[in-house]
Amino acid sequence: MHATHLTIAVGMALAWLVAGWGCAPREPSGDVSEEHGVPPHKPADLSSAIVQIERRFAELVRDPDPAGPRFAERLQEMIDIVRWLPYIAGESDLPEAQWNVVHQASERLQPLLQQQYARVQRGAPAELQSVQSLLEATLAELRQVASSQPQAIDPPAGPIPGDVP
Amino acid sequence: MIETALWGGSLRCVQALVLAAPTILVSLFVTGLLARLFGPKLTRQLYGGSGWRSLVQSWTLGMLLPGCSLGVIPISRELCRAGLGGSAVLAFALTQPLFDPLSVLYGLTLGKPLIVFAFAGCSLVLVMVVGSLWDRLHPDSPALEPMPVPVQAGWPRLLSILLVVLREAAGPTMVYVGIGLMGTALLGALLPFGALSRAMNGGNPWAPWTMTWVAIPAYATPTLAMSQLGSMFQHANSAGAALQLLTLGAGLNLGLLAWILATYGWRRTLTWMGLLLVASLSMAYALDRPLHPRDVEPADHTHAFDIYCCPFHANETHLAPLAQQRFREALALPQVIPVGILGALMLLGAVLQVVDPQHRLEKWLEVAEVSRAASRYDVHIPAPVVGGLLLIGVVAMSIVGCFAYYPHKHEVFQEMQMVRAEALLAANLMDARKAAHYIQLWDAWTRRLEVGVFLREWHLTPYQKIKAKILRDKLELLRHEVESDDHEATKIMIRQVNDAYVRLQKAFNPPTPPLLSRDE
Repeated sequence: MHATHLTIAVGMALAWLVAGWGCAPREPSGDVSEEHGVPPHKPADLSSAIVQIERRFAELVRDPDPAGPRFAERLQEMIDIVRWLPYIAGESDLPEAQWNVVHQASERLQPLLQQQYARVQRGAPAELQSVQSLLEATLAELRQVASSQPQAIDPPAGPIPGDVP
Repeated sequence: MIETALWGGSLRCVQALVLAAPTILVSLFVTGLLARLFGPKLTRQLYGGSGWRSLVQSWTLGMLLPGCSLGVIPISRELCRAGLGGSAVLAFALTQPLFDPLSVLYGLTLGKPLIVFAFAGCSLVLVMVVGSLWDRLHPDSPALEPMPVPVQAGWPRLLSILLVVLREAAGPTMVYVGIGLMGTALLGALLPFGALSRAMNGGNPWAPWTMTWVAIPAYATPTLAMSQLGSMFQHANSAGAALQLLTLGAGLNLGLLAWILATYGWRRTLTWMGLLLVASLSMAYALDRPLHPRDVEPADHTHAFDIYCCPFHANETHLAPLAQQRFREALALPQVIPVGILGALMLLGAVLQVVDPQHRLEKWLEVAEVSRAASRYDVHIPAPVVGGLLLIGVVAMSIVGCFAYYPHKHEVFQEMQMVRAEALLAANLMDARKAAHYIQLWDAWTRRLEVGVFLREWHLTPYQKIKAKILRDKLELLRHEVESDDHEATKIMIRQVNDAYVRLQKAFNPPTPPLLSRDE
């Protein structure tokens, strides 16, 4: 390797860095430790999620404009809640077999609701009656799971280090 | 300010060296094999010679061999010496650092493992497009140095491989490695603490562009890049930026660029870089929306790229003792062992260079006839067979290494128990730096738990996956609460993290490991 090549290589390396420097922010762009945003419609636990789905579905069925933007927004929020069901149930002490019921319920409902959302996006009115019977059966299943849920978790696997009671 | 930059840059440089040392050692060994056991003809055959086939073969071999963008430099030099076409060499140089068995397994724990395969496909398209256009523009590729002639089997052949390793360790390869490490050091010195925390947010049209400029001087091992990809998809960051991070962050560094420039000259290098930038940026912007994870709540910021920025705040009051502590952490056993071996090879290579600058030892080995007593067990094995077996051995060892890196779940929970103690103690004491360090380790252990179970049981239930994800999410929230110095919120998060950990243990169903005291 010639010495000139090495000089050129080092020069190019430095030039590259200088050239790209303008693209990166020079200061941290705000409070780094800001909390991650939790959507306002995210339910706290499985029971509230079931109540929310039930209530929101009833409101959507009664909506006089099942193709409007407000309807689409609320339907999307309901899909979010259905999608979050396994995560919300996972934050509890639900055993695996019962959690699987929640997971399967979420997987079953999501595509049906997505289909309705796609209809609304195309400008066609949603046909929520076609989903109603399955949704009600699924919600009954979920209510059963939620009612059997342990109220408090078992004691942790040891004291929390540094924790002062 | 300057002091912070100097300490920050030096620490990042040392951290990168520690990460790179094992793969540089493997690459030096592979270089020795190619030079002394395969020879130019077989090496060209192995990598497909020239044309489309060579691009695909180089890409495939690059995917199989463990390595990184610094370790690929000596192998690329050897491929050049063997007379392999420039586009094939560059295809190998760009793709060998992207994946290895460790990182692919790590990628399987991501929310959508298909992304890993999609990105691998993108890298193939990239090297094919750039390579074929480059070949068309610059059809002739120079073979720079004469290849060494074969050496007689037995100890002369083994010694000749060692000599290649030593010459490379003390030769131009290490200059390029040094330039590569300087890129990381410069980023660490110039980018302020947390400067990239919001730069890659999803929906930011500048994210792939910004990542391009950061990723090229940055050094990332395949596993580091994969963990950052995981974090990017977990935070719903820009998918285009994620692609740039993998292809340019893991694939390139300033040292590799310097070698390409020194080998192929200004015109060819600029052409290649131009084609690479246009193709990779086009692909990144084309895939940004389709690959964006829509089922993930976008996060306001991420700590995934803190490793490319200065590790210290500009107003850090106890900079020197803090920096010294971070150096001690970076250079702790056992990760410093490969650095020591590399240093020893460099020293021996330098001595060899001083004692024998004319390569007389190699010439003597090439002509020496060593008489041996005939034995029925002393079977002559041709050099290419030995080389091929050793090369397969390297790949096999990296697969076996996966079982060590991703241990059995009982071992993982033993480790996690200790990390948990340190992390929660630090959080309780509101020690943000220490808490962040142990939370990061704890997070990594949750992924290693998933991969370890998958490796051994070939199955991971959705229940286990969600429990691991919830713990990771809680850990991140805990880190933020400690950083924001909110005592009450931290207490709540500590409780939630602990509960999530207990649930994770139950999901993976191991017997609870005995509690270890802090002294143990």
